[in-house]
Amino acid sequence: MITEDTLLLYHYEELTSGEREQVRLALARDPRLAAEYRQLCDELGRWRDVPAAPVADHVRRRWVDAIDRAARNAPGKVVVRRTVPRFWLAGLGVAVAAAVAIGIAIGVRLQEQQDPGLSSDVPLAGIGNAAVTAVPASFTRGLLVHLEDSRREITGLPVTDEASRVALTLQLIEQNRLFEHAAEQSNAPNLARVLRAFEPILLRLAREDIAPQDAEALREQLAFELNVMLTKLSAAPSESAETI
Amino acid sequence: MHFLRTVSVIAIAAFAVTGAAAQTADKSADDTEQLRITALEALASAPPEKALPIADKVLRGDYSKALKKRALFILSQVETPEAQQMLLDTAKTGSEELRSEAIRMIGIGGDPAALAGLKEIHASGDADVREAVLEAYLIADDAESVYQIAIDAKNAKDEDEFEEAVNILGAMEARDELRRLRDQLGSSEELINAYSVAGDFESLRELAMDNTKPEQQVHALRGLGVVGGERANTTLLEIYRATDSPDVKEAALEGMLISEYDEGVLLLFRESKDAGEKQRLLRTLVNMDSDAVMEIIESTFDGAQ
Repeated sequence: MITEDTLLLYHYEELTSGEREQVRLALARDPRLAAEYRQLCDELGRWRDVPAAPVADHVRRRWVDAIDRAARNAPGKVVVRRTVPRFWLAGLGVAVAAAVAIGIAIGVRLQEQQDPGLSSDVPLAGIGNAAVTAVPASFTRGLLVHLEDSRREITGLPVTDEASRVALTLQLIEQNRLFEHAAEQSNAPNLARVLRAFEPILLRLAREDIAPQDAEALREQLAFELNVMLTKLSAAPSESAETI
Repeated sequence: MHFLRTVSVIAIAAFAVTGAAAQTADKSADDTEQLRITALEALASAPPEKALPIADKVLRGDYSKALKKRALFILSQVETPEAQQMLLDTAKTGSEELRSEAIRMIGIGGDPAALAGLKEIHASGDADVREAVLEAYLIADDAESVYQIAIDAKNAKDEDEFEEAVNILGAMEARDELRRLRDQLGSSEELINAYSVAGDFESLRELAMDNTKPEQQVHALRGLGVVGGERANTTLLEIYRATDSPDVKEAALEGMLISEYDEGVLLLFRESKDAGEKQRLLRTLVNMDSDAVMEIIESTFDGAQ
């Protein structure tokens, strides 16, 4: 498939020799493509013939700035959304709130991504809970991966490197919130509460003024809690409902 | 079940290590602490009758605060009245640091009786304890209790706690409770901020349309921007067009900027016949990194606008 972009690159001789040969053959074989290319060349020729008007410096600077901004917002870049990030944003500084908001919208449809064909519900409750609740197995598997990733990130969290610590912690908060929402929707209030409880700890870890020893203590407590939840969830399918 | 017995035995053995181990070299002490932490982790798979005595032993014994905090987390995962009572006891009578942690664990456990017990602790607690109780209610998603704290705080003229409780309700997206607060106490900046965080479009729209209280209107317009979405954008556009107040216009524009509603700003730019207003709108579009900026620049130099 030869796209307009490819034709443009062909016109300006920006393709490799192999690619150029492919386009040349396609143009020879496909009259419609050849017509499209001629039209493109005509348009480019017309632009070339337009006399260049002098542009004031301040206007040029604004253009450059606008183009830079457009490039920064190109597809594939993470864009801040405001519609989802409500939880815990109260009381946060604007910068932290904005950073927390980044990318949340991307993964909200967590459940939609789960393969319904894989789901076989597993019982999940607290230790000694008589009322066993069915939680989708696909959610449990996803949560296990999330907890394992979080545990690894928390264990390796650079306590003394403030910028990295804050950035990593904010990422963890985003992911954690997705799973907290998913837990609510997956009929798992117990898990939702635990995940919700991680967030204040993570927010404290994200604070720039936290003392290293306090950060270390929080990190270790969080790692422990993650380990406990991993142990519980991993045991869920093989153990009796009473134990988890 | 064999696995569970093994876990229990390991845990019991780990906590049977005497104080003598702690008196040896630091390395040995660290190893002992690590072993105990790992043993507590393993308790997550043990039945309550095995887990509770060990957790109790840790809480009552001469163990580190870090270890006691971990035991509290284990208790939060044991859904029996005994475990919840142990958490409540620690929340009432433990050391300052453990009290806050126990309160958090009651939130995680979500047991209604234990959560009800937090009311008394809140009433008699210091600022840290009161904050921990609010956080526990948030973790447990108990909006009614937070609402009660907000009402009590207002009656006691404790504005800081009122604001904190309202913020928490916003974070919980507890729209009903926030509306009840407005019905009872009237509107305030704190409530408008909470409506934004809670995404309560209806309340914000009502406040934004009310031009008898300009300051409140301005806050609500910004709040609509935070909520975002089609309904909020349409309202911002309507209000901008309808008002003659420069402050309200500016707030509506700010709302559109926050909401990244560049289509609306572009629409206003095209509608406007006022050069000063056009400049303001164009600057807003530039601040929004809008693609429309290039279009406007080109058409400006074409003389088409």
